[in-house]
Amino acid sequence: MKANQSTEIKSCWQQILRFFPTDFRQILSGIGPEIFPEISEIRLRVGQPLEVVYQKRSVWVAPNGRLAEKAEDAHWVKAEEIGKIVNAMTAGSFYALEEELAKGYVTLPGGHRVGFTGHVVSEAGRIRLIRNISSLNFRIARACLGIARPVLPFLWKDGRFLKTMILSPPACGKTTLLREIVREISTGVPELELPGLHVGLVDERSEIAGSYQGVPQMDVGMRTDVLDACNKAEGVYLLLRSMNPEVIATDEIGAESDCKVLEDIINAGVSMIVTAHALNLTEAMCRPGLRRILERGMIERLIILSSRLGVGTVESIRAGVTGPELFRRPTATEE
Amino acid sequence: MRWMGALLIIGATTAAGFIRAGRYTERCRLLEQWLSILTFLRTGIGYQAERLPQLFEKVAALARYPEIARIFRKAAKAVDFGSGNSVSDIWEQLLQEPEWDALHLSDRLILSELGQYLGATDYRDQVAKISACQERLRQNLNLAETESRKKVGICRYVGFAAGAAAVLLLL
Repeated sequence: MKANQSTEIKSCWQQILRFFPTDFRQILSGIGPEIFPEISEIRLRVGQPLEVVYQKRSVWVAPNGRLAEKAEDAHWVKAEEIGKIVNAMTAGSFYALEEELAKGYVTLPGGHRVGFTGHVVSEAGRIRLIRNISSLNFRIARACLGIARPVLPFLWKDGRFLKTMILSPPACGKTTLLREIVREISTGVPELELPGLHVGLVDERSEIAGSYQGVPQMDVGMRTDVLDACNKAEGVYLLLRSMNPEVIATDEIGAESDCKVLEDIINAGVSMIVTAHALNLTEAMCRPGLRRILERGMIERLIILSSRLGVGTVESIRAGVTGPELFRRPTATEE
Repeated sequence: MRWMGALLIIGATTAAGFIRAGRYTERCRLLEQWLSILTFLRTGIGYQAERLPQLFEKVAALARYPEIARIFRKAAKAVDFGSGNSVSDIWEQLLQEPEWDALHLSDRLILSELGQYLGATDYRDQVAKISACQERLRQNLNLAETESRKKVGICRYVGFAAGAAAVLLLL
């Protein structure tokens, strides 16, 4: 079992390394397989040391691939190296990524995402292209299979998937939990007598399904239809018109206009699962867009996440804003 | 014995004439092939925004000649994710293949120039650069066809005539 896991980790690391040009691959391959599972980002900036985010903290990478605490021991990234990496990651096809580059990121096979910054070329007041790229952020996509299992019994009642919202601050695992819930309800959970549901997923920033050329790279279930890189409002109406979903899933709502979209989902007799940025319910109620949604009783289940005990810690599950708390994780003092 | 030698001489010079003539027709054939490859690249980039590895694979699949298919398949692998070489280097290597020997230096320079930009700019620029390259190659093709019409017959005739003259002198 352990050997299997280690082979899996190795092959995943190899898969990531193949996006880097040979010389850089040599540096990164020095990072041991025991360290790799804890790396979430690889960051490169022209004229700055090579950085990785390891166990949620920033560390430098030495030319031999070892992690270094001091910047002077690190490999310093040159402009031509960034050029080579961009070339390697775009398979020499800069033109094919124009649209994605205008959004500031590119999704690679495997669902990994690379963020870019550099010189912005605008046209008619909108970003058309980023050229002379100076920074890259390679975000490693990993599935966390099974993390939704404990929360699913709270979301499935009387043969119906309840309208759910996941609330959390950034980088606490909202999108990962959302993806897992989508995968589970789409595939079906016999233990909960939950048959597979048709899920329509509007993935505005290609973050949930990590689609590459329209094909989801992350497992989002067998009955999930993904609208990739599509505006939320337009995507929801398109799915309602054409795909007859039983549940609609989307990420990061909170704009004033989102309330109308969610109302229309409910009016169509469709359930939903959405996420929003907020530390807790009190903070969510301070945001006008979220407040309207929550006050109108559109949400039947509210999951609040934190990273207190690691990414994706479920702090509480509530039956809507006014309903009782169905689950609450004891605080450190209570424990 | 004499007649045998005479036949051999005439045969050899005629064959040399035909080979020389073949290079003119071969250049035309290659230029036509390049024009259709560039049309394919232009539409793939301009309308479908397909990446170079996929486009090269498609060129290989559609190529009329197996040697060209092999060259583009090799280039598709070389340009794919994680390549340490730039597209211009890979393109240059592709142009160095012996299969393009019949092309003139001017044809190679036009194609080589395209390689410096291929993949590296936005799609509007890519389409413009490929179209310009096609236009210049088309001009070369017109000249090559005229040259071919004039010289193919001459080469073949000269080959035979040179052999015959040599035989007459020797006899």
